[in-house]
Amino acid sequence: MPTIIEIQHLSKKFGDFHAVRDLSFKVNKGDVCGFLGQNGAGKSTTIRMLLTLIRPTSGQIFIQGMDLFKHRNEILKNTGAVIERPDLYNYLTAAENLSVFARLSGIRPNRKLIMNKLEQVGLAERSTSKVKIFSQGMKQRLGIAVAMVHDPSLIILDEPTNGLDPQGIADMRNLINSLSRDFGKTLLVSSHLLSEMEQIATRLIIIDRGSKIVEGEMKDLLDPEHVMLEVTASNPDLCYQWVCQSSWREFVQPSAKNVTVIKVQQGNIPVFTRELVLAGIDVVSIKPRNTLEEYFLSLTNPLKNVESN
Amino acid sequence: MWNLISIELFKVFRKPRTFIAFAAISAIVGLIQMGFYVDGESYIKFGMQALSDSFDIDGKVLNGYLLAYIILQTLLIHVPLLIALVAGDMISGEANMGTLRLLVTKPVSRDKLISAKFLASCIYTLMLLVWMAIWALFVSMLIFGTDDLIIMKSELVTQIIEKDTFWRYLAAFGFAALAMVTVASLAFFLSIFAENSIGPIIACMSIVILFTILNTLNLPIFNIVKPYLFTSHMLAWKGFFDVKVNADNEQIIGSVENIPAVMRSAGILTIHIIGFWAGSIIAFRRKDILS
Repeated sequence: MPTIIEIQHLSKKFGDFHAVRDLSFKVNKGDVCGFLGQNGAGKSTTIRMLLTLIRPTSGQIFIQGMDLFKHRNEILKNTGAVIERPDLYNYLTAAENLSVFARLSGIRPNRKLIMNKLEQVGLAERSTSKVKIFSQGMKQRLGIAVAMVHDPSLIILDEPTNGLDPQGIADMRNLINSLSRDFGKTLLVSSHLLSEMEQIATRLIIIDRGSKIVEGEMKDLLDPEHVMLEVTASNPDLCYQWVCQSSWREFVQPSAKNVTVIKVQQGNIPVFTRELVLAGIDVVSIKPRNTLEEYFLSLTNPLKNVESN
Repeated sequence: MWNLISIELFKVFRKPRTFIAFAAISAIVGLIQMGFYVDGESYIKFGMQALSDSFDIDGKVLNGYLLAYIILQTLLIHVPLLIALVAGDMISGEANMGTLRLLVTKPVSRDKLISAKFLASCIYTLMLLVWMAIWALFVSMLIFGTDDLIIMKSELVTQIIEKDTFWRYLAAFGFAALAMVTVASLAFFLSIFAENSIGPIIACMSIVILFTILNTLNLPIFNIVKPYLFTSHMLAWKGFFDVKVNADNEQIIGSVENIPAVMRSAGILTIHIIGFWAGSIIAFRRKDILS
């Protein structure tokens, strides 16, 4: 698959604060790429750099093979975005908002196009209503319509489920799935809702304190055939040492003190458990975990995750 | 570019606050006209008392031209606030609404975007001045008729014959438009640095008031900077009503006493406008959109 976004050694400093530090990643055509990180991890700063809202301190961004800062307009013609909140002109109607942003994107909007886009997001009947009376969910959907009005191949969504109720979140999930499946769009989506991301993302990038900690295909990171085991033993150091010296050592994952995390195939769990006991490790518990949320927490804040368990 | 300007004008004229200025000018001018219609003759008689003792005055002293002069002189001090209301909101208002970040992600260069917004502010200002001219000049001419224009100054009285007056108003409104565009460009420049429109509007008015006060203080330290302050040149439109006279003390038709001074003032205002425009482009180019 061709690479749509390629970020190389991207950094951004605000004064002495390093918001993004030497970040590199790729997003391929057709991906729904989940961009995850805790608050302040640098997701929004990265997305703002991708959209030329912020200039990087160093590093390069290539989109569709072109240098973003040399071919800005060409790239943005083919990019749609919703950044944090879907802030639109409250004193204009839904159709007028869409028309303004279509013209700014270099296309001549006609009524058919506007109504078609509004229909896609379920707002056709509210085309003449002013945005100031819209609910958060309706604004979010209109924001998506604005992002899609010029039919871009790349859509960047920063926290698209912010402020939505459960129905709104489900609608957004369906919309994102449909954009990828039915329209072949490439999406980069940042979100806090890991369970939602688990259902839509095909690829994951996790950043923490401005640096990337994980990048890969969802199926590899959350392989249903494998499971992450969290092993707690009464002698944790001995447990960790044994695993690191055993044939299982290549499967050890980054983890908190006193806990050993290992990724094993489902069928190998009994073998691993037996070997652990035979090695004289006093096993207190072995907990399987394979949700995105658990994986994310184990990477970004392992101590907190262990405490919460 | 016209596409961008038309989008900006569309947005400006869909905002209710845009019409405050038009309504305010209509109301103020209407009130002045009503006051002069009801009680203007006695006011003029009182004003001309000293003159009547030495000269025979006939014709309509209180006419549309005189009223337009009075209105122009009064209103141009207050119009900057009405202009700053819109121009100071052009960028900061978008930042406050959160739409600025969406605008900047569109395939339009920042220079073009800022220039379109700047020109839209200028067009709005010009429309406001045209509106003011319609009310102050044309409606006054309709209500009060026309005759020679008599302007009383502290040391002299100028009489401009009727047929030589109308073009002077067109020139005066043109110059006033330039002065008001200078205020608009200052408010616009300030709006680049703010996240809500209150800041630039207040800052713009504060600068206008401060510079106006400096103009009135006759102190050597301030006299050095006065020629460079844009407020020193905003009332130079009055120069179009200073006429040349021949050896018989008769007015030379179509003359302006000190045209170089008026042109110099226009030049200084133009330099300010270009400076604020260029400053806005440079500042916006470097701005990280964090709103």
